[in-house]
Amino acid sequence: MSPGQYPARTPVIGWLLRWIHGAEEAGEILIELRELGWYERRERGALRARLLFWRESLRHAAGRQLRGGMDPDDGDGGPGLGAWLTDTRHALRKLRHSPLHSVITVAVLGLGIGAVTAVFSLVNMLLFATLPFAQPDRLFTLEDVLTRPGQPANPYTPQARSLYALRDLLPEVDLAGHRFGTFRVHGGDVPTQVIGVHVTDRWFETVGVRPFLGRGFSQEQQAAGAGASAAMIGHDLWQRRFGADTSIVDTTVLLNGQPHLISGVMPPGLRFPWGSEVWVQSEFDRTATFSLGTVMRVPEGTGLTELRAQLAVATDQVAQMYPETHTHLRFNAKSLRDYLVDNRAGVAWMLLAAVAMLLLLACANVAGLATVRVLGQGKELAVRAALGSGRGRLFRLVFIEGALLAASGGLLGLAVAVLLQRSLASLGSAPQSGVGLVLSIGMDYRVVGFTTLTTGLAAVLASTLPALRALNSGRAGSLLRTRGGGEDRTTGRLLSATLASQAGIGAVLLIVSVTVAQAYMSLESTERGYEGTDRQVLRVVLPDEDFPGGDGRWQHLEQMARQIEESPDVVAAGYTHHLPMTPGTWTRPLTFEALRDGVAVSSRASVRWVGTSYLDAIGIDMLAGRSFTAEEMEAAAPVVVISAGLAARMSDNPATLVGGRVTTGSRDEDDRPWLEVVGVAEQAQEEWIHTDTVYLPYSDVPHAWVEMVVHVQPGTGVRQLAAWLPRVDPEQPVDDVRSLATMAATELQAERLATQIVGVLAVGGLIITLLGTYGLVSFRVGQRRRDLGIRMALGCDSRRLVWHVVSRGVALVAVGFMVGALLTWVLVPPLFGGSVAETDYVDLHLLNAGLSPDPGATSGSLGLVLLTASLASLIPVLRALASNPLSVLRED
Amino acid sequence: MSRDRLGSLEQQVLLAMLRLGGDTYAVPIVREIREHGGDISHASVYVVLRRMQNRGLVTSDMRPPGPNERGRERRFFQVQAAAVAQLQETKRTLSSLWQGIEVLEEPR
Repeated sequence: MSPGQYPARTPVIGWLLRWIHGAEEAGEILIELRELGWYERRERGALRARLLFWRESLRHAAGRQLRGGMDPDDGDGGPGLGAWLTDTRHALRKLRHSPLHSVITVAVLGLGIGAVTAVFSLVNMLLFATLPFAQPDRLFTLEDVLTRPGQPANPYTPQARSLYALRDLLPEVDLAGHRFGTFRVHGGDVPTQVIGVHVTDRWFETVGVRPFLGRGFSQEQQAAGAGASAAMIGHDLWQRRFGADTSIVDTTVLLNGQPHLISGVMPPGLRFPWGSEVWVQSEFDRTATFSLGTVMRVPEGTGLTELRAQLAVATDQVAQMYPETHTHLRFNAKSLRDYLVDNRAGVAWMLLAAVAMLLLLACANVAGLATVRVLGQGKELAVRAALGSGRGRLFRLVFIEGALLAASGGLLGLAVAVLLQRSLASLGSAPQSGVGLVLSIGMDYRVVGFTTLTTGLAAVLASTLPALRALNSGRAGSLLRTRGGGEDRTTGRLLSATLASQAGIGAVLLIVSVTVAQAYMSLESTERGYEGTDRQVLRVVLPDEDFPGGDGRWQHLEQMARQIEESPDVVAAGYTHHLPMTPGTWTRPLTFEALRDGVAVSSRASVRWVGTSYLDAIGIDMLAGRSFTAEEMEAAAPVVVISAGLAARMSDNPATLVGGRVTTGSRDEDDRPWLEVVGVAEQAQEEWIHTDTVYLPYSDVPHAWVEMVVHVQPGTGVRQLAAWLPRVDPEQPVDDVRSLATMAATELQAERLATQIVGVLAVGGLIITLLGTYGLVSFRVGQRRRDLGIRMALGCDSRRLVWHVVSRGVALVAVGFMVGALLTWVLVPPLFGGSVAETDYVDLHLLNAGLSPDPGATSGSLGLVLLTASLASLIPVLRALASNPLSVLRED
Repeated sequence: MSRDRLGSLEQQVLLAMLRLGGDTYAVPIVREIREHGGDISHASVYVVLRRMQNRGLVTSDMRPPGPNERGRERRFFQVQAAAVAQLQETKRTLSSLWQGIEVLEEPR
């Protein structure tokens, strides 16, 4: 019987053999190995046959090296463990003999692996973290889009009506809603104030949360409808206020003065939505015009497109049912994931790109270093070959060295990663998504593995490939060439390319990081227009239960402010519904009446509802006119204060605007009330995006959640104010007094984190570039010691020699840098330069600052990289020159 | 190791080839040696054959697969007279060395 072939297809082995032996020989080998495999399968089964095939193939792959040497009878089979141990010891000794090179390689590997791992773990968490909900891909949020532009947004749509209507129209989709609320939690010495939500029935099932403790809301409670006495509390609140008492379930706790039955504790870290710590079941009034967040869970297999199509149909049906409220409204869906993670994605991608750059840089560097290492050993390898070392032995030596370096680099990288990660986490700025998902940063060991593997592979390949090439082509003897070492033309070009490309990558990293740092610093140093020092902020919450419909809120706040001012430590106190520079935007289209050549001009500005003394308390001066009075609040007078920037654009003399009229509606809406401008305030940065501001009396829209800004005497601490407050309002929680300056600093923490990460990458990149350049240049100079020695002996001017060597390295680096810089200039502005669409939760202001590399950053980076390259070239040259030329010549 | 002496692997391969008729390719050689209790890899046979070809002990040519065989051409090797002569010389040397060593005598 004639033999067959097994296995039939062997693409990987085929490629490997072709790569090592060439196509023709590989063909011969493969057909015979498959024939052997066929016999083996017939006699011992398919598994044994495959094993045999692989073993034989690998022997062939290595055979060229193992058995191509001088001794024909070094036995069958690979080298024993003893030989590997001997070679490992030898490799260790060799690594010790060139400590500088070894240390540089390990440092480059370690830094690269460490930085890449730390940053990638973080970015990975931001971009790809799974949401802590059951089957999160089935979750969407509902958005209403107003089809007639200029209409005020959400707060004027009865969203509860939309929710209940959609529940009827889309029976397959689970819908649940939540409404922002604040809860005063009683118990202990002083009450505490937390954010929470009122949720509809089936909320927990829809979102897909399993409680940490307890059971969620029971069917009976849900069926009871207005069983508003059931509440869930957050894990953090449970630990903070209730000492992690596991018997809390089914006990009664006072929330906003009302008894609530605690039916469970939420899982740790989950504060969805909006950083909530209390979830209370409520029945919503279908006609009320409050803002309601809606979560939808679709059946398995339904996608966004399908859901949107269903919503489009529902839009028309709801519009017919409620023409008065839903005529100009369209429903839209957005995946919950996008809604939660969206805002940071731009920065995360930028960081990811930077990480990839660093990984590339580390690989290029390590490869370059490993190559020169092997080439530098050319002479030794040639001598060993001449003395009878088998090729396999030589190959093994080189391989072990590369692997040892890679392994040490990996270990160091792990340590660096852990350190970096700790310092990133200890910034106290574990990024919290704007909607209340606390994401924890954890070390991702898969990333460590991946990075180590990548860079390690680079190291091993770069050290073995040149050796393999030389040994296979029978050029072992050519390694003996003294001048230029083993660096042939191709390798020389390769090394030059490595030098240039690492400068290029370094340039990109540096320029980007300097740009980000500049954007950050410009954000930090933005002229705020208000005083940060000696200002303390107290959060005051006036729940609906105590102030039905908001009645009496402003009177309470005004009285509270006056009482606080009675303290000897206090200069002034005033309140606002929204502090400057905190997340969230409150904007309105604005129309000025008959200004600028008689034409009405409209502009968009942020809106602040503030108390009478707020501008005084926070330190915004009046340029013309005055602030509101309590009488105007009492009379609900239509008055407004506008910011100077806005005023300046409308009139050359802002003072003339006082007494003019303005409306906060759109130009087309005649029913919006016109407001009288009573004052022009100094320009203050209330928001990042919109610099223009209008201040309206708080009594106009009395928010429940208010920030009391207190101007204190210099040197007054937060504690002193906190001690005074119970005299003002014993019911008011005082655990949340903060200084405005600290708040402004924490406000930028996400930006700071991003900046620091990019900084880490840039510094890492710079060090790697420095080390790598040094390693490569010193190798090249070392190879030319004989050349340099001859020139010196012939009386060549040492300065010219130095210039000769240094200029070449620096020129290469400069070319690489230029290419990198060009790429940065071309790519960064379109990718990151635009400003992000305005959303409710834009909290990475770096993007709004509009990143674009500037000439200063670029030339500074160029200087830094060139300096690095010069130093890296200069030191080895000087070292070479310092040795006696004659002794250098004698060495050969 | 002198070039005109046969190594033990070379002896094994040549003997296997002669048992197979003196004109064969690597796979049957591997199987023949293994059937006689030897352990050798295909890669080793392959390398040894090439080396002996360089020394003129064997010659080779490529042959298409037979009518019932699959695959492409195989390289066949033929034992040359020089190889047989070296084998005989090696056998003589070894036989005389083996003689008279009582501890190595196999029990009859």
